Amino acid sequence: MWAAGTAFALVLLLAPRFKKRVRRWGLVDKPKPHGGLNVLTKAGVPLMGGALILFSVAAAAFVWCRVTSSYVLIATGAGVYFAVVGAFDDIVKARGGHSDAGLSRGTKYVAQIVFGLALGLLLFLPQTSPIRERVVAGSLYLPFSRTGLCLGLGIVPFVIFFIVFASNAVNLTDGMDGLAIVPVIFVAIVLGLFAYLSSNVNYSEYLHLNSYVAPDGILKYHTLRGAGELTVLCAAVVGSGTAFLWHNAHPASIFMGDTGSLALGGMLGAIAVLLRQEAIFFIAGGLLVAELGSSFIQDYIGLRLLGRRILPRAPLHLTLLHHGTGEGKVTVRLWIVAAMCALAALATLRLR
Amino acid sequence: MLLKGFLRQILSLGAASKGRLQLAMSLLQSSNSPADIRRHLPELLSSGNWQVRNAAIKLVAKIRDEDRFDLLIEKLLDRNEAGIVRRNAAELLHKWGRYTPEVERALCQALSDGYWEVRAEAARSLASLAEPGRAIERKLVKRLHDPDGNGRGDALRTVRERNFEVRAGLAEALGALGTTEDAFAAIKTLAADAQWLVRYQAAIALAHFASRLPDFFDRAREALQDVDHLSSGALPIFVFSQRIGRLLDDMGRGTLDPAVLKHRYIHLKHGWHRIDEVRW
Repeated sequence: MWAAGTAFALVLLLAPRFKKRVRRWGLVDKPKPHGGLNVLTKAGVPLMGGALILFSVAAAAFVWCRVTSSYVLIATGAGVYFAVVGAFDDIVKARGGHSDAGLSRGTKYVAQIVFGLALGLLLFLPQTSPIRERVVAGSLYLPFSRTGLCLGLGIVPFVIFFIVFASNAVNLTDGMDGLAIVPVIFVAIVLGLFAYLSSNVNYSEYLHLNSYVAPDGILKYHTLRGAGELTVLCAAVVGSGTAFLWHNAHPASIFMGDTGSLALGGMLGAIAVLLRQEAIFFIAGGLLVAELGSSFIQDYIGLRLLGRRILPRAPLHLTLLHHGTGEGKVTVRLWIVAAMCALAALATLRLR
Repeated sequence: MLLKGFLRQILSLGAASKGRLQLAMSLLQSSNSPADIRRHLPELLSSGNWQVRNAAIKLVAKIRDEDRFDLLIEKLLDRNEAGIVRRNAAELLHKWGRYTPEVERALCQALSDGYWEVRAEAARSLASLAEPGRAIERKLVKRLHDPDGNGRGDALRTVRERNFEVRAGLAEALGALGTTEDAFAAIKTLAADAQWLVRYQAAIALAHFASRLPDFFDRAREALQDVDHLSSGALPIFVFSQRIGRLLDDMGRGTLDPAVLKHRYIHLKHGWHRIDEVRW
């Protein structure tokens, strides 16, 4: 609660000054009309609100978390790493004069893969992993099964894929005022709760979180000691995200930019990896999956390979907009979908 | 056909194809030399990559290569060609502005294309290029309605076209080309569509129709008054509702001009939000 309150207050108090400063630096949105969205009316909105979100999350974490916790260090490190990549992209875009002038898709993929590889190795190697039990660190946990699917070293490529997915999913969803931050808040709430439950001996055993079959065939339970600190970090994300929505709600007076979308996606992705709850991220972030999936289907299968649109527009929110639904309505409807996905993710707690 | 296109595209994703795409894009963006473009066209048009072929037909239109005018018709009708190339062929025929019996035949045939963007573009192109007449009107009404329906357009359930952009394009075409009771009834059907964008195009089409055929004036005005003005979200200033009001005002003053009405349709491909940019 305190972490959420601190982050909320910081964003709310600092946002007006931050906006002025960013506008003075010329870091404002210079969109290119596309996809049916009336982007031209959004020209001049300050970018890089993500830096403010991340600053407030880091500050709240510094005050309220045990900062020596490897869980907190890795998750915050993920946020900072992706924020730097995103900030670079935002600055290049703003200086280049239009939204296509940023980092190339390939460069972003490389940055994401590098981090995914580092995180995968960090998780897998016993010397560095915050998870003591090797089987748990190398397993993929699915909601309907008590024990995980042991991938061994295969967990490293999976983590790379997952990190690329998580950061891109939030990045693609961030296409309308307030659209990305609400699903991010819901995912943070779900992951925060899972972090608390996974770190508690009684709850993790009762809910079969991170259980595994020992070599002697007995089902054992593994508590992620110290992972409760991630609950505090997630609370900070919820607090700062809510305050950011205050300014980012339609019509937005600030955008999170790639600084925010890549950082929040990367940070929540890293938290899901550390909690071994990637599957829960897929369910809670169902909207993010749909946004990324629709873009992938349209760009790679439809346009590149088949030479036709499979959806009227992509990502998903642009399809809804193209069908004549107003931006405000599309956003609220997708928030409802995001809330349902988060509830579905919570419901899986009893399906093990 | 889809599978064939898919395999063709997979096979064409090599470095040579990328080089040809770059060449085509640079010619499209910067070259103004018809001779230079003509020299590269055979190579670009025979590429396995649809993006290269797409750029190539744009180049044909850019230099108005008369020898290759028929190629646009060919591309439009070639069901093995990528959907976006077929759609662009229809659009380029429209931009070229030459209307021949072959073009009419090809555009009418494209109204039954399996890919919705081609159908929508064909309807829009016909609206701009064709002359009003019974034959073309019959084809448009037939495209709109279920063959088992009564073909009079007095019931929404007879509408067989599932894609709203195509329905909107058909409304535009019927507004510009319709001459009889059947066309008027079909536009009225579209004016009761569940999709407000179709209703909007149909409202303009009703006015357009009446502006050309004064006998329908009073009935078109009545029909316009019955159009559901609500739009699901749309714009905060209710442009749609305002536009209907202004259409009715214009009709009340008897100042409808077909040439002006032509510009009041929204080009849905470019996004409905541009409704506030439509000249009035």
